[in-house]
Amino acid sequence: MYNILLFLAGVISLIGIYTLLTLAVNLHYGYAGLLSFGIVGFVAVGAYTYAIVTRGAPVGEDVYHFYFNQPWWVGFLAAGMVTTIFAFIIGLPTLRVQGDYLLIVTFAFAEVIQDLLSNEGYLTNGTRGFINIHQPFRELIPGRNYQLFLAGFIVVIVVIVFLIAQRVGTAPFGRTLRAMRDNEPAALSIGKNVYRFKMEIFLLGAAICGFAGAMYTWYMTLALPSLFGMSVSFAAWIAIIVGGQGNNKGAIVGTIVLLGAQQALKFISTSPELTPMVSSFELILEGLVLIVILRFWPSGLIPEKSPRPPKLAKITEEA
Amino acid sequence: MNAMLQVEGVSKHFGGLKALDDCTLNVEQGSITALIGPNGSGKTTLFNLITGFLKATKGRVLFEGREITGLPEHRIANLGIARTFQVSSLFPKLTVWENLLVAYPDQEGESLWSVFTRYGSIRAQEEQQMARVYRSLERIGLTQKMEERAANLSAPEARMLEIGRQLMFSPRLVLLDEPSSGVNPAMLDRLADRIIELNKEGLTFFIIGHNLSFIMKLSHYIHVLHYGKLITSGPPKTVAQDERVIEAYLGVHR
Repeated sequence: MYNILLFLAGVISLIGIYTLLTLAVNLHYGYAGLLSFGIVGFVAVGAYTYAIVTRGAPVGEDVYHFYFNQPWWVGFLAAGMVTTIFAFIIGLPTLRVQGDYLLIVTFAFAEVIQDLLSNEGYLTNGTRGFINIHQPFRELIPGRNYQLFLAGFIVVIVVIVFLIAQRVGTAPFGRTLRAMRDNEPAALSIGKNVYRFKMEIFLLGAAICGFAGAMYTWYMTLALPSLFGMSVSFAAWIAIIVGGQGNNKGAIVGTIVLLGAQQALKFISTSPELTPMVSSFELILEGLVLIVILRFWPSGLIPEKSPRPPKLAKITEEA
Repeated sequence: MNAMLQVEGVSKHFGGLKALDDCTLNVEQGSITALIGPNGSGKTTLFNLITGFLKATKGRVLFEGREITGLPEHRIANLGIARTFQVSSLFPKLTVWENLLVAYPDQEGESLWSVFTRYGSIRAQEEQQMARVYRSLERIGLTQKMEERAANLSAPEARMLEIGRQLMFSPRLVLLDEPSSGVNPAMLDRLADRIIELNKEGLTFFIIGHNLSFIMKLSHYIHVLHYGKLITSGPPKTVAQDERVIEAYLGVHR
């Protein structure tokens, strides 16, 4: 029983972290129409920033030179900030061009980051990566109970980020984003500084990815270059297409459906010879889920919903 | 009367094609000025140059005495120049009321920071703006459809919504690109009345038109373009009898 509980806690943690990525993709693409494929690059920057800031002195064969020995919350905030700075540098030239170019540049950015992680050993400890990542409140909750605590902690953060995304989406800011997504020339013609709006939402989404990166290292207790491949970006994109673009609830539902299906596979007990087959079936499943959803729910399980007009206290009658 | 908009020696070349060639014209403050000419004569190109959607090869554009050549599109709009597009250009996934509300300039809730820090005052501002949205909906006859998505509107409805939206940010000069296209005759009369009404309230119009009877009825002054060159300007009656205009439209050679 306790083992199942631990397994569930792990699944919830993972789904929580991926939900943040899907929410970020939703802010970028669902609301603002930005084809930002490189979110895994931001996750990696966040994860490694956290690792470096909270790390102690190198031991044994470690090759890294930089470590700051800070408490977890300093590392966590640094992860968000450093990622935002990275996103600003990426966005500065690329957000001025239209559509597909942003996709190509962010894709390349993510690939470059992954290569840097394995090659710049003085900074990232190379392919050895960082193990024994410092987890928040670890010293207070010893033993396996920590898994349960971590799941709860991650859920709290996801709820906070969800509320932020909801507020952004329903505020006038979100309305202008959706307008810009629908028709950029028309948005310009009513005097909207499209570039500023794109940049602001790009940075917000990237910051969320940076925090998610730090949280991913809590969950894995390590940071390795191989963890930050394109499949992370793809998972978040599939989740948003499954769940429904332009709707934060859709982001959550999509992530639960996609990762739930993946994790359910792990429940299937098989003989050791069959295990590699089952794990490769995960990728097939991803594609299958996507095809089924696109066939029967082309705009996602929870499509974009039109907001109701704001209620007027008394002005309505006079107007 | 003084010139609100001055176009001075503006040219636009696309490679070897001279879409506009040394074009100079004025739009007087408080007037309804029309821009006519056969297909491909550079009318929409001129609108795009004025509003910053294209950059001129040569020449300059002044609005209320201030040079606006080369400014970005949104800055020009914020100076008080509204434009519509040849094909009604809406935000299809936004509802009708959102299409209008979004056009409000300088909304407090459009800054990512105040979205979180100024909840109350954003709400109050939204309510105030909604009152104006309701008035606008009534004028353009779309109150019943306010919660529809803009994508579901008919062509004339879309045209009215587009014009209504561009008026939401209180411009001083409105450029209408073919307002009569896609609009049925009954709606067209209503549109003409509305333009005259707004003009009497002090709004200046610069209108591209193919529907000549609509243009003749409406405008105080007409500029005629042909192959990127301004061939004549004048009051409707003079222009209608000008031989060069008749030749441009009908291709009659003397």
